[in-house]
Amino acid sequence: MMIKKKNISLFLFLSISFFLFSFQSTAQKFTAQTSKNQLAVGELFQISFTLNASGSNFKAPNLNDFDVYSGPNQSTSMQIINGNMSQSISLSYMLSPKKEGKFTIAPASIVVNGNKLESNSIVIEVKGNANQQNAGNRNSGNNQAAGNNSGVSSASSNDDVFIKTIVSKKSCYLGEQVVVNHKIYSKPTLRGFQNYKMPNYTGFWSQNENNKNKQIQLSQENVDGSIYYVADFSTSYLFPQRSGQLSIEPMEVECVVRRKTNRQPQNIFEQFFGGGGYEDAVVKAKSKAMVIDVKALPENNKPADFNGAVGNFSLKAEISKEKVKENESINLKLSITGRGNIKLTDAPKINFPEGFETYDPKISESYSEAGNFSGTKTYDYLLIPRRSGEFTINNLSFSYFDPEKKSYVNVPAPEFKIVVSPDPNGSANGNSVQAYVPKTTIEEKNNDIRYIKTGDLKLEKADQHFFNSWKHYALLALPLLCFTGFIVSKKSHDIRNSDVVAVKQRKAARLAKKQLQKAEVFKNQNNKDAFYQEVSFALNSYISNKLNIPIADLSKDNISLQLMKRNVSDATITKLNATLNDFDIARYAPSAVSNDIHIVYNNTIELIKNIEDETRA
Amino acid sequence: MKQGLKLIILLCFVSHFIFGNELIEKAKNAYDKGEYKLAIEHYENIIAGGETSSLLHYNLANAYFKNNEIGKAIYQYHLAHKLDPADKDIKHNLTIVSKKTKDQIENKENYFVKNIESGVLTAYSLNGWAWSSIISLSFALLFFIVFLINEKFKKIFFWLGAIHVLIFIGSLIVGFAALNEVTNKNNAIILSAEVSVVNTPTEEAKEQFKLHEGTKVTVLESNSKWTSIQLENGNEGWLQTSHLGLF
Repeated sequence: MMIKKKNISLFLFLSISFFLFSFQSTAQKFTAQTSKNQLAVGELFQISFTLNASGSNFKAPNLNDFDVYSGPNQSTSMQIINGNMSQSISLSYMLSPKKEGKFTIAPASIVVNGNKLESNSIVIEVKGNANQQNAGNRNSGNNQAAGNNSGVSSASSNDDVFIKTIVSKKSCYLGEQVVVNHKIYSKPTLRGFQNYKMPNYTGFWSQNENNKNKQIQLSQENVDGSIYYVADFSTSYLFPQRSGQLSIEPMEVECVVRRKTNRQPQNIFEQFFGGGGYEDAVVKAKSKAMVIDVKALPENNKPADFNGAVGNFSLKAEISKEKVKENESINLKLSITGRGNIKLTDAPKINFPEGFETYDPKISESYSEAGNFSGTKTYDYLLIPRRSGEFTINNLSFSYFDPEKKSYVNVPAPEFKIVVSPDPNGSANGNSVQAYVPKTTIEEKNNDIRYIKTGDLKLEKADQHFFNSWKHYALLALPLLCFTGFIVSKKSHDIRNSDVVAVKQRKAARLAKKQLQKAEVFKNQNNKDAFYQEVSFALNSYISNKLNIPIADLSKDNISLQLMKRNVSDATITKLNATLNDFDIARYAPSAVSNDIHIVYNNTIELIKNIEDETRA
Repeated sequence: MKQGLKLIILLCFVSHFIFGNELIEKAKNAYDKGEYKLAIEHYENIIAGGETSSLLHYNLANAYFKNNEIGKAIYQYHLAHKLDPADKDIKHNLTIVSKKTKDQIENKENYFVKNIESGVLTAYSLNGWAWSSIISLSFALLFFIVFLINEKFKKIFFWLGAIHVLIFIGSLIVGFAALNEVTNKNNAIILSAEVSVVNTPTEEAKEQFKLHEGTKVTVLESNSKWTSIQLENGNEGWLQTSHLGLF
């Protein structure tokens, strides 16, 4: 519907003139005409320059005081009347004055057959503002109620042209989708739009319907008994980003409309084709501001994994493989499909098992805008298990707020069981990626303190340390005392043991006693031979030890002499000699001795005892 | 011998034990029920009764921490750690609770040397060093006795004895160092939520910086009113002793 500016250059047009009327030099006229001489600022008017011949080198006048909406638009006409052919070329501009005042449009010039022709000049008077002049008296009565929750506002800058803003909801939840529709109503035919300004949807995240390549659909509607042309100008999907009263600012557009003029048709053809009586006019239109009440999301029952999704969604989760080897990749695909602020939602948090290497998901999106903003957002996770074993991915879910149900909805995903078998040539293989297992120690995870100690707390007196106390020193002294005792006893032991003879003498009685014990065994068995042998040996070795005389050197004289030296009484000596004699006889002729061996035994013990007593005295 | 002596020591304090055990049980029940304030009260009463142990300070510290008193908790953990430097539970909880302090002070000292030094000092508790000295001396003398009696392996027993003499001397040296560490209160923990550190020990002094609950400082000089402290990053200043828990 936009006016197509005919941008064929003037030069091209003039050079391709295929009729040469050079011979026809009669009455060449170059005139300038304007559709209006008096108008308001912003009002559109046409100025046209007409030549009834062919020319070249057209020079337009200075049009700095005006906005050029279109032009130069050229048209040619040819007439053959009674064999006389006449032609005319017309160049026209659509202009609009920039400001008030009286302006003179200077003559244009053109070259015809080498002669330069100039048109007449035109005076334009501009008074007032087109928009103000025509400011609407038709705002009332235009509003259509479109349901409880929707609102419509319209504002017109003109009786005949206004914009309706239709919102799907006047009150909504934070993040809930609101569809805003701008419709342009116009009584005169709509020819196009220009300089449109979409509002800044402050406080909203907005998605405008892609209308660049879209033909704006025109329909007709009956409003209060009048037929209006209706252009569905734009649709926006808004998602409030904060709660409170959010306003939708007005949108502005300049509409080009075809409007009937009071000018009479210039000729019969114009009249016939409906032309001439119409002109293009620019009308500025502005919608009314609207306020949308945005409610905050309820706090209670808010799921922990809620991340701001509002609308109606479904969750699909797929896994590429459930049985893999170590270091083999797995794809986990999460698709969230639905209507709402899906573009703004984050990936759901997934607790991947430890030992899985994960990467940021690849996100792919597809959306449609058919009346509602909906679509699918897909998160593609790449997982590489670095350890073998059985793993589960659970707790995978997506939460959103359903504004229709006014409650939170949690969509769970199925639980995935992954069996990872060990890679036979795993880490040994240089090609495989080295396993990376994050070294989070248990201590780091466990952020709570350990439990108190129970049972005996081993209380002690404060500031009484065992170290450096008397108990400590007492316990240190104990081994030292033992050691000293040992050293002392060892020393005296050594001294006494240093005199071999004295030791032998001291031990003589003890040794004899031992040997007599052997003899006693034989005595009890009544084994006379063995008894006398033992008892004789015991007595002899006792005397040998006691007197320090080797057994071989023992003789009665020798023994008597030595015993006398040690103050042993004669009686004892005599007794000893007698006993030794008895033993000798018994050894060589046991039958000759009739003495009872018990008495012999006791006598021997008594004898040794006597000698011991007397030597000590 | 060791058991016997321990028994004697135990008997000496048997009355205290009966009194203490009752409070310990009460405190534990309070702790389990989440009545940390009551648990703290019980434990503090035991300490006020003149008794102490690393485990007691540890339990008290846990209760303080659960009661959100970070500064006191850290102080009690340090007291416990000082009495039994080898206990892993104490170290673990101290590490966790220390992370909750507000002040983060960069340490400029040579950590390695300090770690070795404190590592040796904290290998045993003070009692451990005492027992170590007694046992090593006993063994040394035993080996010397064997050395004197034995005919065959004299050399081996001599060296065994000599080594134990060295262990004995070492235990005493380290023990005295540890005793010095325990009796001298060279460190302190900030107990108040926020404390101004000033440049002179006077009321009108200018504030140099602020310290928060739980921060550990080194004590340079201390009296009942003012304490001169040094931070691990070298900053020095004075603050009122009442804000500190010295250990």
